[in-house]
Amino acid sequence: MTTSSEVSSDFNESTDADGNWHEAWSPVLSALTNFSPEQISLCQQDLQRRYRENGLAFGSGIWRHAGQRPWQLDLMPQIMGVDDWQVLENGLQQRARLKAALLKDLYGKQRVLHEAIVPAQAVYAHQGFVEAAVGIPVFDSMPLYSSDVSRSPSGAWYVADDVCQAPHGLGYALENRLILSGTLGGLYRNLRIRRVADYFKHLRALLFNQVDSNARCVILGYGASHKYHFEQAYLSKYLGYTLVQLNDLTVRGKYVWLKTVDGLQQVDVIFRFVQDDDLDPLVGTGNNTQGVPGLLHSAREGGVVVVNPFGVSAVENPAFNVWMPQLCSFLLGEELQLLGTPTYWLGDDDQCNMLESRFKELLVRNINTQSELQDPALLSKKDFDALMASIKEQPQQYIAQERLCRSMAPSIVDNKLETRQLTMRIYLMDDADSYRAMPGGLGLLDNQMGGARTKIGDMVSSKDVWVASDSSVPYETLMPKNRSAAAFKIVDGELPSSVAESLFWLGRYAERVESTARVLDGVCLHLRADERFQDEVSSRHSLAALLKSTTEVTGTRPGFFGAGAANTLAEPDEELLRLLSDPEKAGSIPHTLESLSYSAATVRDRLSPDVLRVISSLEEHHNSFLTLSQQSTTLDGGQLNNTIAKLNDLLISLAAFSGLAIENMTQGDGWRFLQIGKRIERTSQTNDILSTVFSEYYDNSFALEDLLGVLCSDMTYRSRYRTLIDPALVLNLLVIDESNPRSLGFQLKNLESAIQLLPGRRKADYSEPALRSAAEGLARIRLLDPVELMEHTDGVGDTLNQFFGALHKLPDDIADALTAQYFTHTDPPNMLCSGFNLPIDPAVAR
Amino acid sequence: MKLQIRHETRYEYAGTVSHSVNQLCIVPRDTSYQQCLNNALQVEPAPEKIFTWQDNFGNTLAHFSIEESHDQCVVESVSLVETRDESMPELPRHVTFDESRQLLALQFEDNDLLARMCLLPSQHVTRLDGSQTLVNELLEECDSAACFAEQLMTRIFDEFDYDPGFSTVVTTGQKAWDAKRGVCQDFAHVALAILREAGIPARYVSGYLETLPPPGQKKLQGSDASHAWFSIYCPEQGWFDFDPTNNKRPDQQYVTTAWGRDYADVAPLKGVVYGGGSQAITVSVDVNRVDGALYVASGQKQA
Repeated sequence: MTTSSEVSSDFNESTDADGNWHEAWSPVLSALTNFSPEQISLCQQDLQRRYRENGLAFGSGIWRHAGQRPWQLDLMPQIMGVDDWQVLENGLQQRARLKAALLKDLYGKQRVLHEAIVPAQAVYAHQGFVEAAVGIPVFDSMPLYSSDVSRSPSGAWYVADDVCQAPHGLGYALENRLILSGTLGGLYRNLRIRRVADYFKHLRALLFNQVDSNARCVILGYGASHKYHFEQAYLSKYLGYTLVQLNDLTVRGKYVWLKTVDGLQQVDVIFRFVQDDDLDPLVGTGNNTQGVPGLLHSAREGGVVVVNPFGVSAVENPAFNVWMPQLCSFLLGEELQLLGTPTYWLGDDDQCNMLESRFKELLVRNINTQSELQDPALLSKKDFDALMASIKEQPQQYIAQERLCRSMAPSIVDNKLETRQLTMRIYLMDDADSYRAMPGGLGLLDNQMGGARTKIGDMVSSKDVWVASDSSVPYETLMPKNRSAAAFKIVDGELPSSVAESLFWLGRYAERVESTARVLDGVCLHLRADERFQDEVSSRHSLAALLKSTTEVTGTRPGFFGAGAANTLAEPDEELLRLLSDPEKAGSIPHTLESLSYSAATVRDRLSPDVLRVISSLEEHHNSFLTLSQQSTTLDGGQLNNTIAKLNDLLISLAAFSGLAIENMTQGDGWRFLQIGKRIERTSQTNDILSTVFSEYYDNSFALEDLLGVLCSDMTYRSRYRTLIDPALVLNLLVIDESNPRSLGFQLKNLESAIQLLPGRRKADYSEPALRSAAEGLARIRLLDPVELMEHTDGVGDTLNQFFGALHKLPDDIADALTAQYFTHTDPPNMLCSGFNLPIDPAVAR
Repeated sequence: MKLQIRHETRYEYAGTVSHSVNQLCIVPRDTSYQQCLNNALQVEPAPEKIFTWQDNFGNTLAHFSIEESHDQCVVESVSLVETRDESMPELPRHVTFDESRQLLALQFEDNDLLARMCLLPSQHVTRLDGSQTLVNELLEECDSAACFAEQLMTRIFDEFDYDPGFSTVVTTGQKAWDAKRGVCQDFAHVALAILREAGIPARYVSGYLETLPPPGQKKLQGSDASHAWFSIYCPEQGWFDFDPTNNKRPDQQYVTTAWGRDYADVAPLKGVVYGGGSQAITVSVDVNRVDGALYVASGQKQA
């Protein structure tokens, strides 16, 4: 681990030059330094538990894939004294007003260019400047502004970066506050710390005030695979807006519409977390083909409000730092309060020549990269020469910055008090004549030396920022009153098609994991129950029936079928272990759990905290299954017991998921899609298992007994029939009995009634394909006479095969019909281009 | 001279298109040497509305979306443009490179700002590998930007083969430069890259060119094409056009549709269609000289 001695700065956030604590810091420092190691440790565990429960992670929503790691939150907050904050807040308010004025000018009269306050090429060289947006009034406002600030060794705050497109990190800042104020509850309440909840109330008002009341506002993100997805989902839940992705939206005429299961619904305000470049393929700067074609047109015609507007990244251009004092006096008539990092624009020949000898002392940045500073001193000769060559070729695209050390903040690392370099991201929003700052922010800690900065995703840890107040702070819960309403239900009326589809798959995957776990559990129990091995042939056959069912349920043919089946059936351990622990094998438990997690991540803004907690716990199950194959290559003795225990734990979590889905979700359209997914999957799995067992082993009572166990109906069977295993009675219980939640009849009956309640189903008859298929299956089941069937003295297997064969395709038919009607609202997009056909990005053309 | 331009683009799809969103840049603009007297834009199937506006370059753009199912789409633009008959302005050959640069550094009018934009690389115009020798040669031969541009036009005309089979819309300037072949658009992009490398502000111009049939023959319908060339900026003098495809300074037989940094700013038609599968595109352009004949808005000639 890097220790604090590797980087140092003259300025320490918490102490003065003599090492005495600043007044604002002393209550927190004295409290935390008085904690015993055990107390610190307890607090750390509490933090860890809280952020794990919230599923807090940075990166994509899939565990095994690169990039995701748990969010790190420092137990020590950053403390901002009253005066210190005042200076920073005033400076940032002015900076926000200045950037807003600059934006208005660049997309309007361009006085700063005509009067040569800023060289035009410094503006044009930045890809964020959209020529197509110049002269169109809707693109010149900047409702939201965020800024990364650091403190120089002199103690003065300076701006390191302007973040103008979307307030990335705002959700993390909010979450950090909720978690830390919970862990340090007593301390937090006793100190006069300003609350941040108020900011979010104003944010909601700001978004709604963009248009008339009754506006539909959506949060536009990239989807579950994106690194910021967590916070977008979190904010959408907190603010109560639907979270949508680019392909959920479509432009018709001058308006933007959301594709929902109930048809198209107009969108008035888009709070976007998508970069300028990706918004509209008709306006892109490059060959980017994602986006909502016509979005810019709609905004231009006043059909939709995009916050922040398209083109705003032009003012993120770090080259403006060179002329901020002049711009401030020109545009605002004021003296600049807060300086940026001393910056040089290399597009200026004189500037560039003057700096040539100093390059290694400076940091260099291409203005078209986000906060990526290159340190020429650390570059190899080859890379340095390449950098110099690109600067020579396109000097307008480069700036050089002085190295500024940032202040050090105390940080608790492994029970010890250390120091870390600090950057704070502060969030502001438009508020009448000025800007309102959130009294707090996202503290980012790093160990980078030499003044270079880390990207938000690469930092060591984060910090909550506590702003002291000199008056009493009104007690205010951070949870808005509407949280319970917003967080625990599916928002009816605007269920995006893509969300409905994810909920549907969430239901299917949850059921798929469950049936996989149950059938594997059945196999393990069979392997362990050696007392039945008195009748070896029957026992071997009943094991074969289970193993083949396993292959069917996991969709992993050949598996225990086909040419090699004799060997695999005799030595099943290797195949079983792969199904239990190989994440690369499609259909294995870890693999299906990942699919489940991915679907859950896509709709996490629509799941209650309890459900999310269960989903988070699945990650631990996932990891524990991964370890199985490392422990042993065979399934016997301890390994077998160990596996059964893991499977049982997993089944309990899955039961919790199903239970919460029943008890804790509003039974609207979203819930219905989840349930339909579950029923379709269970129909399919149950039918596969029944068909496997009955086709060959209907007269093997061990196999039927195992079957009852796997389908959780053994108790019912015994209590109801009090008899030996009779195939006709087993069929009755597992196929026909509509009161048994594991029977095929139960699945289809529920499917039929759920489908009838889906939106847009106005017809009273059975002409629609999904409903028709469900009714057909139900009719076949109801008309089955198991006793008569079992009396066919020969060919019982064939008759059963026919029966299950007829049901086999039904679940897929229903799924296809629902997909066509509710999930795919559009055909795949293609780029048209003046006589040439360019394929569009296949990832978007789903 | 009055020229009537009919520009038809026909998209035929293998399957059904459920929805399409399109942006056009095919309406001729007004300039100091031409005036667009009228324009009629027709789309079939008819969209609910065709939105038009002017971008910051002063080009006329149009947007429409088709929400009904269709398997073909025809966009027809008919314009009547009057081009100035005066003689071509003299090229400012007396203004040296240094003088041009110093002048531009002190000027901040709209055109001067556009010139600064047109000095930078753009989406289709980036520095060419292997162009240094030509740039140096031309700088050696010429004293002025005007001379440089004129020589460059001739060099491209002489050294490049016109080859419609070679180009697609994604042909890069580099590829055309390496193969020494392409179409008007490629020649313009190659020229722009070399001019900007030499520090001469240069923009891309799209438009039409009236072609005349060989003597004694009747002109074929749809035989014309949309055209592209380049234009350089001389401070205080203005923009001067050059057509490297025909080694000619555009005169009254040329109609300017739009200008920008490169093709990307002025693509005649771009859009996204949903469904449809493969596309077949037919473009037909007619540029006809008219004298005193009457025109109605649809562009049909009155006998």
